[in-house]
Amino acid sequence: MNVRLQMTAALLLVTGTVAPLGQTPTFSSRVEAVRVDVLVTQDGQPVRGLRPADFAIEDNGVPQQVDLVSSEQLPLNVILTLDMSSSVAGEPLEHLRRAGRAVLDGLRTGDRAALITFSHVVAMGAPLTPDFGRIRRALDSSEAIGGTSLVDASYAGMVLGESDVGRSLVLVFSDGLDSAAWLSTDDVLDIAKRSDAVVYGVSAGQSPQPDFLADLSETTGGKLFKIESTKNLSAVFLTVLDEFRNRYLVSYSPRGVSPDGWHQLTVRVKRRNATVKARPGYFAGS
Amino acid sequence: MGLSLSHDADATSQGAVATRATPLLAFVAKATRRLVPALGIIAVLGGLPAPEAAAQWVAARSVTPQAPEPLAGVERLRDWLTAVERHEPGKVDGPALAISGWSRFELDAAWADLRALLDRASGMVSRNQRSGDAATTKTGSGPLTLADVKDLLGLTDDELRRRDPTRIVKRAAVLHADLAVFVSLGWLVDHSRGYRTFLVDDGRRVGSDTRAYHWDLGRALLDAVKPDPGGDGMVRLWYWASSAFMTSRGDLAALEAHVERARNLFPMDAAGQFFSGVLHETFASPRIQAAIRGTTTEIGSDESESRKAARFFRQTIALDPAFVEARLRLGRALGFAGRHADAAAELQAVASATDDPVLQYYANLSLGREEQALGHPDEARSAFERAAALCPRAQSPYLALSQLSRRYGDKAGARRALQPVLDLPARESEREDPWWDYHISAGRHADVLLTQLRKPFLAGVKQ
Repeated sequence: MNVRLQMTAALLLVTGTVAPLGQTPTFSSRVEAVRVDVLVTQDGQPVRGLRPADFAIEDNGVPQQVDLVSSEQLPLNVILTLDMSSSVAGEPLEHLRRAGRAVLDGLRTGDRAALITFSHVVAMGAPLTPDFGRIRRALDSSEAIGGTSLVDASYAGMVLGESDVGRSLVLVFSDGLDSAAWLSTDDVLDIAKRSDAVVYGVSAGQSPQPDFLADLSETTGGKLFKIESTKNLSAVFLTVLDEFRNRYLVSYSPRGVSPDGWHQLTVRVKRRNATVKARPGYFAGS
Repeated sequence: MGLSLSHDADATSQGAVATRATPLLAFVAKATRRLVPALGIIAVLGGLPAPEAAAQWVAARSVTPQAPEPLAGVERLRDWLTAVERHEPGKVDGPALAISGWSRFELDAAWADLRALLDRASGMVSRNQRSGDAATTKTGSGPLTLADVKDLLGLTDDELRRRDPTRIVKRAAVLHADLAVFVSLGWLVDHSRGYRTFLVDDGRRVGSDTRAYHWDLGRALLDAVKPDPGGDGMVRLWYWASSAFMTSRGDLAALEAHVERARNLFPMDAAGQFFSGVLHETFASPRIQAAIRGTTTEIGSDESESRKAARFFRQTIALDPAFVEARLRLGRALGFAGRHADAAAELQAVASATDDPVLQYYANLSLGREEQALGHPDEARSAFERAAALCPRAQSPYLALSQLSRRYGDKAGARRALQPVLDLPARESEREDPWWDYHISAGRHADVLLTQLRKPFLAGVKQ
């Protein structure tokens, strides 16, 4: 889910710029706009066709007027952030490659993807690109060796996810706990509150699960999938992609709230039995 | 990266229950880099607390040998002493190969035979000097005269009378240090089968194994140095060289027992305090804390282990105020405890006091973190940039710079700062970052220390 303080929105309107299709939409106000990436489900299935009037948003407890709701028409930036530490060697690595390829197969025209691999080394397999063949080749040449810098790599994925237009999904896969990162979990969770990227974590294995990945997913409004085996990893990755594509990008121009600091968000849908998932808040001005 | 846990289940099923779970850990280092990033840490969290318990366990799972009467024969003792005399320190030679095939049981028996023979020989010398009595002593291999004993042990009448095996045990301790080193480096297969440990790689248990007994035997041998092992320079060097080597290999299991004995022997020596601090600092690290999650172990939380580490580093500095690396590690521990101003002061002092680029890198990288915590972004940026300049191919300073920019709302700056990381080669073999080696880097002088240790013994090798 996406929260963005659209600091440039006013300028864009003043100069008369109209965002072309596929770019971040501009907003109907000369004040900052906030975008919130929202998942709405009912009985586990995404709810489609909602309009602005269907949403109720409170910013620090103050009801806000939803201006715009968009969904599937926005292109996606998918940052595959994949654990290639030694514990993934063997069959799990092949499952991981296959799952990565499945995501790439599920992308559409206008979408872009990037690949970050990590062991103790954080490495760019491929930058954000519509050339999925390049990412496939990078996936095929990846090797599983070394420790796990999950925290560093998650940070890199978020920064990469912020780097362009569209909605950004950072899909982080890991089968272990961080053992080599320089950045602290607190630092990166703090950045997550300021980022508009949405992190979906996939945590594999029976060993103790990383709190960090759960916290990161929660903070960004994403979700953590826990799986015991990587056997069906492709299906899990495709579920993530499908779910993310069916999320709404809800925007509003905050009124009656401070322009700074942490803003607690409450997002509801005026429909019975609907489940709403959105980030719990955002840092204004960050 | 993985670890393993204390796992008493097997021991229990064998009827030898460990009474507590002592943390035994080891990293396996990679030889291609000087400071060896772990090929994954191999952490070994031992189920067995002490050699006695370990002996029980080992015995329980194999055919239990009956302890022989001392001196049931002298052949084993002769073979061991011959190897001790003929081993060329630092070389994987015939004597080293021969003794590497011995079990812990055989090694202990040889050492017990030596002590028993010394006890008897002492009386024989006294009687001989008092009455000219040509005494003999019975062994399973037949009677030995005093001349036989002197020939076997190579000791003088005075040494025998005083039961002083110093010359033997020092050389023997060097042999067994070499054996432990060679086994750790994979140059020799271990048959001594000491305490049991678990192997962990990248956050998961990958097996279990017994560790070489040679360090344990070496400690026991050197305890017999006269007049006082705690006042002996060679013993001191043996402990520091071996502690450095264990640290460089991430062999925390061995290091834990080692530093405890070292501190007892040399309470006023800074090095013992320092390596103890390094041990607990490593226990506090995410790689170990991650490994022990959900397990029973005596390793404490990251906070408690870091506090212990800080205490040892303070003691190190109290004993040796010029011990710069202890200040570095104390600074990091203070930062972990939230004492950012104190931490920054220590780290700043280290950065300006040392010419060692490795320490400078660690100091600046850590200083940047503390300055950021203090709300000094410019100072933090400068420190991170100095770290980046010291090691341009390291990812950690760029990640830190990027995170700093992002923390202060500069998205473009965060992307720019991250770009060098993304531009670095993807292959692990083409990357380097001293941060990855931080927890083993305190052992980076192990080779030098081992060379110093071996040098005096090169001269006396018997052909």
